[in-house]
Amino acid sequence: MKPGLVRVLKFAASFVPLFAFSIVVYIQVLPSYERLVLATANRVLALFTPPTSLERPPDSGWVAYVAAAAATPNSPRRLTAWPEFTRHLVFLSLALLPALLLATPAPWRTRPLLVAFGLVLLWIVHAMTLVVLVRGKLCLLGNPGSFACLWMLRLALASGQISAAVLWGLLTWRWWIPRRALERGAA
Amino acid sequence: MLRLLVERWLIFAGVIGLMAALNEGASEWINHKLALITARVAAGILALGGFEGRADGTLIHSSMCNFEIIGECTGYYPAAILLAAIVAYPCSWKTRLLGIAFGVPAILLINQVRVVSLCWIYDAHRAIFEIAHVLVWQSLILFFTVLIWIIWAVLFVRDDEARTR
Repeated sequence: MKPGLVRVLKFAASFVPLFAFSIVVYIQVLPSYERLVLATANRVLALFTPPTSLERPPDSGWVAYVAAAAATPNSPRRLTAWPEFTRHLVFLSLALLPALLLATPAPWRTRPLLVAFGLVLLWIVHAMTLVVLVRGKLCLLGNPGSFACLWMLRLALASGQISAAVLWGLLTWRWWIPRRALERGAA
Repeated sequence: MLRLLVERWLIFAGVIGLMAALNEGASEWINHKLALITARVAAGILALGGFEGRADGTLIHSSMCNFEIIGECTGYYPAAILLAAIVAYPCSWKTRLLGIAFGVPAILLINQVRVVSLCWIYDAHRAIFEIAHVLVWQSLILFFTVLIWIIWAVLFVRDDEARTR
């Protein structure tokens, strides 16, 4: 059997139990993680004009608000709400990325470091995604049907999948792409 | 080396951005058509399985579930991620086209499995449907995207480059 194929099979076989474990951890840590990401996103959202915020009332999805002083008929205090499953759409990379990183055939001592670094990057990406979601809705309110606003929102909603793939690729490409392939590309 | 890496990542980001723009700007032509096909094929599989599957536009009716296939259920984004990753990889266009020709239909096929299995989960294990739908299958389809890309990059690209060397 080719060594490359063995590596791929090992990756696939180890991903399955790691992902199952990751889902269990995800369900446990999601409430705390969500509070952390919302707090970070709200710090950034407060810097824009008009200032906005994102909250999660109990038993409900996210609700975006415009700061009371800045609310107008066009941008009311309660800006918009997302259904509860949206949080899983955005945060699913929190379950997926650690499993992908731990299954990658990097040296064993490196893998926990990859996960730690990946989670820090993920936290930043998730906070930015929430900022884009809220600002995108506000943008759409001011410019109904705007292509740019819709594009921004669509990308933010797909970011759960895209961010997992991008961060995994960013952190593990060296174990998949041989150096000579890159050198060949440079030639 | 760093310049090349940055260049490759910019190509990846550019293709993803372009695919998202295409999805938004030509939604009727691309994603709606893809949703119609997804619904039709899934209904066909359900009918073959004896579950009275039939499609009505993007709606699937069967004895197990009644679903609507929306833009996010078509496998468009995982296919776009695979396409971007293949285009960004440093290899010949012939090898890239081979990866796209096999990889993208494979993703769409896996998405059909996803839709049909979700129909069964809805009928048999409704309590876990939401988690299976939004979290587990969305993650799994991305895992298959990554896996297809690795198989292509590790096996096909290397073989192809070895033959041409």
